[in-house]
Amino acid sequence: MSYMPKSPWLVHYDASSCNGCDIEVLACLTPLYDVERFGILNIGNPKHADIFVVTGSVNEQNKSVIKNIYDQMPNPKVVVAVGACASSGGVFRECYNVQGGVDNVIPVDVYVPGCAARPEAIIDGVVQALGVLEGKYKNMVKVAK
Amino acid sequence: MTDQTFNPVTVEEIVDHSFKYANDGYRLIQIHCTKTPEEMFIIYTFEKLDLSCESIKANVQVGDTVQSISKIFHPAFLYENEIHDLYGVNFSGMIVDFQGTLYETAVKQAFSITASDKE
Amino acid sequence: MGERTIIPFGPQHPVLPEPLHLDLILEDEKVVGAVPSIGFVHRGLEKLVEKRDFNEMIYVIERICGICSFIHSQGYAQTIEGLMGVEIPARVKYLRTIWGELSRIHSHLLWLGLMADAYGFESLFMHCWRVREKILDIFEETTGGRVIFSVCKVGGLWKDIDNETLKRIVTVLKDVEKETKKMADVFTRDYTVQKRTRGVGVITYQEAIDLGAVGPTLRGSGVVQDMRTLGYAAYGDLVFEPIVEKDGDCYARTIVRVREISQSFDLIYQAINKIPDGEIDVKVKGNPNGEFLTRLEQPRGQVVYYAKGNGTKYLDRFRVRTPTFANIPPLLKMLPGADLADVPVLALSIDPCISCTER
Repeated sequence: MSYMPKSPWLVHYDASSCNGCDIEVLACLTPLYDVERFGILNIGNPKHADIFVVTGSVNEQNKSVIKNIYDQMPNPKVVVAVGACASSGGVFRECYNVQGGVDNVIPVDVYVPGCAARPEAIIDGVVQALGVLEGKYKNMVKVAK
Repeated sequence: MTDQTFNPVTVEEIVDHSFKYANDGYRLIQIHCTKTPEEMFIIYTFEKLDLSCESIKANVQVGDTVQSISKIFHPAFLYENEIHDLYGVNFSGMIVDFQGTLYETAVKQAFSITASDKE
Repeated sequence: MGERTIIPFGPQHPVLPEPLHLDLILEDEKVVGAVPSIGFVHRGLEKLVEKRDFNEMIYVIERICGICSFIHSQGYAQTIEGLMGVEIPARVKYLRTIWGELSRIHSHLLWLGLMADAYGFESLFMHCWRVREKILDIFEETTGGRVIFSVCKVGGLWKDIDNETLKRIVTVLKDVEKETKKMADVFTRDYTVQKRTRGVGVITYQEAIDLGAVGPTLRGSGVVQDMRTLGYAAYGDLVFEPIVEKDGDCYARTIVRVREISQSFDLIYQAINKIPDGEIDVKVKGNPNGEFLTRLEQPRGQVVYYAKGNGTKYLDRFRVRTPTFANIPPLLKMLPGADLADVPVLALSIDPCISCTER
């Protein structure tokens, strides 16, 4: 299993974020932060992904999309909720169409704070997610034996 | 500046007024609806390329049917579908009718309920 | 004639960070029709005016969109100030203009990057975003935030930029300007870029007007219209001309934005040269009453705000008509006749901001 944390692939979905966290997730890929040097790749296909990065809160229309992407990802998988909205609903918590954080729909492993979350915080969250991923993998191997 | 002129009209006159604005070289920049505990109205804003801008305002009620102006101003269909989904005002003769599926919200016609209605 | 196929585009799609969904109707490789469905980002935040008073609401409004966040808060402040008849100090107007134009540079660089990515020019994408980080550094230095600033308030600003810092900003911007010029050359002259953008998604002059296009999408088709010429904030004191291109294709829309970046640099230099000293806020007394409509120019085009107050601290209604909402009909017009492979480029060419559109 030592190979997996060396190159985790992540899929990003914007639930109902204001774009602030999304562009910060994208900014992580660009030269100043450049997470690709850690082997982290942002890919479009959920079936290739190990880490699911969600920004924004859950609403009526996108909860099925989030669930769908999560179900398509192979095990072991880790969910990172980026930003205040994804963690709890944030400033939009009281909106009639917002159900709250992503943990209403799928289990979340790592919460990244901030409005908008800073790229450093996002990278930190993903690195923590690697530990969780490793743990989940070991657990799977144990169960299989 | 005529930005702040909201000419009162009746619902039946909306189409006539829209024709007039279209002939005068105006284009539609927005339609929106407002509901307060006392009243509910719909505002159409038109703008010329020289940036002069005028609005018309008509009183409506939830469940009313308003004639669509999407045949005069093409972009109107999006605003009308939005108002249908969020306020429950019906529009007849829209060029594209989403049948209430433009927004799938947790609360249907959420904007037609004002804070005082809940109490 | 081939059989018709319907291909769903989005909501989770690699080219867009945001969930835009289109049902594309195809005949072989050609798009013959497109049906948009929106609502994936709909939060209903306009409804929050009932729960947040008019001073707090500005922090919700600036979170409509993380890219034009400052201009949203500026627009909200301007609307409420108009409603209450508050006259703001001149320094505030200039500072708002400076932050607003910096936002435009950052938004256009971001868009240029995404556009480059849409036609597979990844190194150009990286360069645009690398340069953009320097603008974000200025934001961080002056406001404390990278994308959401929370510096605007009804009646002024929370923070001032001292004149020393303004001078330093000019030197930083001169560097950024040089780097942007280099990239601008690639967007305007590169053969491969032109191959993907020239003649793609043409919107004629009349179509742009009839379909209600705004911003660079409108100006790319030769229509002269820029809300900044209304002279709000400090724009009345600054010298500039709306930037217009004639062709109406993706290339023209790109060029409009490239040229608008240089225009924004110029506007910031002018504003920093002219900025007067003075207060950065005024006391706001009472509650808003009546109705007010404001129009502003965002990086993506015209935005319309409408507020209705009732004499209490809670507004009756705050309405935002964002530029992308107005640019959806032109996008639907561009798609029929295009190749499926060009759809990402077309969708990006209007600079879609879905969180703005759906609020």
